[in-house]
Amino acid sequence: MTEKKQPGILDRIENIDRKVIYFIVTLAVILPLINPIGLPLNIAEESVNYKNAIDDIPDGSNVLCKIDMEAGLSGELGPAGVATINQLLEKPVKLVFIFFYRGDCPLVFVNNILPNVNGYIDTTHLGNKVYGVDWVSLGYIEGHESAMAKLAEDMHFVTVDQFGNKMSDLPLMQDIKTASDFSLLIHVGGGDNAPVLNQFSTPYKLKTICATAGVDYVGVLQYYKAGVYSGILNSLKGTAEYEFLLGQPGLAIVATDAISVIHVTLLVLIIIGNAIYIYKRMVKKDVKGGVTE
Amino acid sequence: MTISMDPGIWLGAFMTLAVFSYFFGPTKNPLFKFAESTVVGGALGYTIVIAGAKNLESLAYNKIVAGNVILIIPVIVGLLIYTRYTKNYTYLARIPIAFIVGSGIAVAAYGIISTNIIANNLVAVTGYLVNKDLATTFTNAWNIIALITSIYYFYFTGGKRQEAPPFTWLNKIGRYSIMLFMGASFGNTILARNALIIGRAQFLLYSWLGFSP
Repeated sequence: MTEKKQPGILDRIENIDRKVIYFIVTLAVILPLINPIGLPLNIAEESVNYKNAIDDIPDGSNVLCKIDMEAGLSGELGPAGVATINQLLEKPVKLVFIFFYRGDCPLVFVNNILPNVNGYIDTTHLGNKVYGVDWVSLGYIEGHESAMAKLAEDMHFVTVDQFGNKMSDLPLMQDIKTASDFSLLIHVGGGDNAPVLNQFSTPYKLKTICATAGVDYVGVLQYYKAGVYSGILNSLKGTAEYEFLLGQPGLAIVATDAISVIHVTLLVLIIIGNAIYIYKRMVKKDVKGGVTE
Repeated sequence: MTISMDPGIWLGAFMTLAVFSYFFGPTKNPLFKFAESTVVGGALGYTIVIAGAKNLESLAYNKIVAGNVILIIPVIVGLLIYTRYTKNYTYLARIPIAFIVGSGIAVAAYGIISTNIIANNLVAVTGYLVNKDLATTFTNAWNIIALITSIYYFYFTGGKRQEAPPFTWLNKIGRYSIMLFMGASFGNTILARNALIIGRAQFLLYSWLGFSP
């Protein structure tokens, strides 16, 4: 009777139960959130430029805001939306919000973003800005890139706003006809980067900044390098830098320790996995070499 | 630490934990399936109301009532898409699809050329090569090489010439450049997924369980 060979320590680590990995990752997320470590934060140039682009908006200008994220992304990009609106509220500018990404994006905007903004009372008053006069939300517009092209050409293409008010009843919209009437376009969202640039920024030479999901960051970076975007925020990390620059710590700064710890944890796991794989391949090669010799 | 008394927060916490049960329980457990079906069903229902009813009112009904009667034509053409569910008139569904695809390509084409080709690639090739910072100059030079070789990698019309040096080298550099891009994208995807988990963990810890940030 042959004795079954017991798996070695390396085999055990290599075939570790996924639940153990999830448990380690869970701890790496929760512990720094409860007990922040205060790890240093490097400020990226594109985050500084994002803030500067909003600082540089001339007083009295109109700003087109596409704070366009579905519920699943609000954990990652919600803090960017809140911090961006907070900075905008400090300036004498008028805001028009638009949504093209998904049908639930305006709901996320009203329920998850606005209540966390400084000075939020209700949807009629956003800080010192009055609805219809200083800010307007056009709601979700179906049609994606074709609808963007049409709206850029004619802002009165939609007849009612997010809350069912007629466009003719909104004083702010009487002065706004096309995308040319805006000084800045802010896109906070996990998609639509190319369509926004194609239909608003390039044809109307509209200065544009964006806060993007980490998945899209590498794709968006090329537009920043080419000068198409004037500033970008990279996911929660970029938002933490932005909150630091604004001097208004929010949920993103609190999350930076968790981001760092979880990254180190994952890196260690990747290094261990690869080291075992390479070691086992080398051992296998040596054995094979021995046989042929 | 004060636990929330808001029923909405409790419902959110329950749904979050139900989804997270995927991590520690069986992958197809009833809690996860319940949360999955509820989210999909709720999202679909909401989208039909918002995308359908609200947009039909704003973009079609109000304008038709105001006298822009010609808009009835796109509404009828749009409704033809439902002929897919009939036996004899399925072919009519091709008309709105053809409109959507055709107009979509036409609208996107201008922007793609002006943004991606002119503004992006030409600037990458011509505008940013020399920089006072040596590392940036090297990165920019590498960007240009990666751009040209990646485009070359997708150039399939060279026939046998592509299989001989130096074209094989160009192909190889292009392939490695694409792999580098994909590796960086993958790294950022992991970053993004972590951010999603952190978002939910913040909700559970701060909004539900009442820990202070």
